[in-house]
Amino acid sequence: MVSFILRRLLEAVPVLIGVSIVVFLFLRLIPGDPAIALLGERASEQNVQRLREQMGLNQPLHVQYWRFVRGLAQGDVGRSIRTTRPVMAEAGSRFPATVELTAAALTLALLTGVGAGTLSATWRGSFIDHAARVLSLAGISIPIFWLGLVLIWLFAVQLPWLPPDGRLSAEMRYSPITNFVFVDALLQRRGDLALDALRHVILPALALSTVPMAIIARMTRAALLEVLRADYVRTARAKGLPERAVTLRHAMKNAALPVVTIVGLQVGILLSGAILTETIFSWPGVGRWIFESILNRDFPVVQGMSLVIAVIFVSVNLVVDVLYAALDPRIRVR
Amino acid sequence: MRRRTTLTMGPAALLALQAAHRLPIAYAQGSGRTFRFGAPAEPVKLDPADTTDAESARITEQIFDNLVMFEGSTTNLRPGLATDWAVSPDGLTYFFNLRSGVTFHDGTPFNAEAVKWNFDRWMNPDNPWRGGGTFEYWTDVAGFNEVIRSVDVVDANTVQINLNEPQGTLLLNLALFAFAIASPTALAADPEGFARRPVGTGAFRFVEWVPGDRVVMDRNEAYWGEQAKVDRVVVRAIPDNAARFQVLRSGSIDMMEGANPDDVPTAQRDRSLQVILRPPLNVGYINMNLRQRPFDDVRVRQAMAAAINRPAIVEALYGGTGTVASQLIPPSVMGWNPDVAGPRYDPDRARQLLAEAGLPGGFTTDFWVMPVSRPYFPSPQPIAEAIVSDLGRVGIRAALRRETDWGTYLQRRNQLEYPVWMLGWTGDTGDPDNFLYTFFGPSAPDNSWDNDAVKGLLRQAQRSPNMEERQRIYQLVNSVVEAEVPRIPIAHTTPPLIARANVRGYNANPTSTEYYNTVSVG
Repeated sequence: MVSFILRRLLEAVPVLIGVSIVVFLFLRLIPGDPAIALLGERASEQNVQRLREQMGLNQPLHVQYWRFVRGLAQGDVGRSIRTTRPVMAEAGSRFPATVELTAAALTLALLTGVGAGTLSATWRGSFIDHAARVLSLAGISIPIFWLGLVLIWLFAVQLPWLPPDGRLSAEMRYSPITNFVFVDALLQRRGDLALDALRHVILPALALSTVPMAIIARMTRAALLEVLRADYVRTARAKGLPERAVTLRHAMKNAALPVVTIVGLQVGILLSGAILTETIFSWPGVGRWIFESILNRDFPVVQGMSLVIAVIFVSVNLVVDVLYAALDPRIRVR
Repeated sequence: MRRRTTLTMGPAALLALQAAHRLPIAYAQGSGRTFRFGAPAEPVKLDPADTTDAESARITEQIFDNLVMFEGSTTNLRPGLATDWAVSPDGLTYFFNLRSGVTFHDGTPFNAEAVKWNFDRWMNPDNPWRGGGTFEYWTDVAGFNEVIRSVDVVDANTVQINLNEPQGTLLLNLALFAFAIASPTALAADPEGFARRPVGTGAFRFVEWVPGDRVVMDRNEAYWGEQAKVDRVVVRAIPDNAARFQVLRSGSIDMMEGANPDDVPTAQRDRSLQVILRPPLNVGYINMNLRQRPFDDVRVRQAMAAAINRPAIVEALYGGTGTVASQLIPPSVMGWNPDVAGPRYDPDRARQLLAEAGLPGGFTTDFWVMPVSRPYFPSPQPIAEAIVSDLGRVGIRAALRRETDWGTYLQRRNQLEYPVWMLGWTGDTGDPDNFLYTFFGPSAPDNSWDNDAVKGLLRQAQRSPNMEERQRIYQLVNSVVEAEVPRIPIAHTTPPLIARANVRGYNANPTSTEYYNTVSVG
């Protein structure tokens, strides 16, 4: 198992180098000058030139790339062009916000997706099955942007149950330790803080969870249906095991394999969905930050955060592979 | 309703919702002592001298004061950190008497030394306390790098500013957010960190900035001027226009800027909301490259202007917040000429003018559309389509061209690569120089109108400290512009701010310099 993990880690190195080159080049291929994006319509040509000079944008591409890589080797991804702050310092508070949002959305998607998929497969062809399938089709088709606005309109304006924006109420004050609000609330024993954060995360997590929920539901249904037809399930039934035990204990473990893979891939979908969700719900996370940085041509932010996200994606896939190997010993042998 | 809710939501979310429903709804009502503003973006840097974006200025205006400041909803000046001032007859020396007994939020005393310290930092590119800043407003907007020679301390409460040449707009420029006086102690301690922990003398002191989320400021109990009516100001960054409006309707914020045009009538009908129109200080125009045929011929430019049905465009596409522009400065600005009526919609006259110019069958050209919306062109694409269709009716076949990137658009218009394009301007100070010198002065980036007489007049008005003389000159320039049509003015807009009905005392200023100490939340 250890050598399996090590091999996977080694394979990640060329992937990350590739990502760094592609992101670096793409940013410089798209039209638009960061100096003009920063200074705006009233800037004189002289100031634009001075800023380009200062940012090193007049240097040849390979020199700029080398500077970027040299910084990376020293653990420095650079400074934001716009705010002149180190990218990592700025990421410090935004990253936990996105992690909390995606974790909440993934939890929601798993609970509802696996639940709906299982119900759907067990009562195949029934009303429940149809309802669950319509629901998952809707989940895939409804744009997050629209859904987000409808959720705000319904649950914050018409029925004022939940707050529509941000991570915490405007009046809420606290001194962050980890910047993970739930962890900090635990550390500081602040029930009010945890509750406020929970109320704020519900709507954006709901909007963000719809696509992965739908995919997980469909995948669970398909996998479970296939497994339920397998011989050993018939044997289990023939032994006289109750249907619940057959489904949950015997069928589920094998049906979990493709579902685990899909869940791993959902992390990528969640991170890209986070861009829209964070914009609609003014969630102070990295998705919105990267999006705004692309518009502003803030190269160091986009480069740095793309790499961080690539690392996360590679790690999640590694975890999925390990889980897979744990669930199915044949994979380790290969 | 409840049944459908159950179907479209996961059971976990439903449980959480029901639990949430039983909680006290603290967020739905303001505490009454906090003013919560929803802004379209978060600030970039809170060092006013090194800032160019409106979001940073919105916040630094609360934390800092200037020597002279804008009065309420006008571009008139009132005493700020200076109680009164005087100018020498040659216009080359300004004296400012400073308010005594004022301290910065960190306890540093405000005095003539502090003022000189700030000016030295702005003026000298090698000053060690600049924190790597580029200080655009000092050079590109106010032009102080050429005008201000030095600043002297006369006594503890008097400073003297010495100029190289007179500048008629000096006092208005000094009221811009960029020339707010910062605490020398705080800046010297950490020139780079200052932009994240600003210290001024303003009605509110900085408390915290949660990146991507909010800036919090508390009332300065020791403020020299009118005490703030709220204890705290929270400025939230809510990027999406539609979402921001819903957040306002939910009561989670008290006021917002940047509404979609469609949402303004909704807000006007909603009795829990109020719409506050900021007096116009902008203009959207169509620019042409006068160095290219056929736009070098004034009759062609007049034909273009007569072909566009501007009243119809403003009526249909500005959501009730636009007025047709007769000239390139809005009516509230000095030098606006009441005798200039602006181009009249007359397609027959346009055809006739084209024929006189030797183009009876019209001509073909490219019309470039702005890729972003600005207050003066809230929806550039439909406006451009309407204009192109109007032009087509008199035989000017303009192909609609679109640049995807704003920076590229600005860069290419600077190099005069477009034959016809749309753009506009939002004023900084409310002074005509800030419009007309920007459009037609010697360093104007996208000007192709080589009229030396106008350049000379603008230069003369810029230097004159005599307001009546300046007004006469600008009115003259506006009538020359009407005759020569170097650009076609389209519209001025009144950018709408939307607030909850219980917000009182918000002074919407044409320059967007708005102080929150007068605001109360009932």
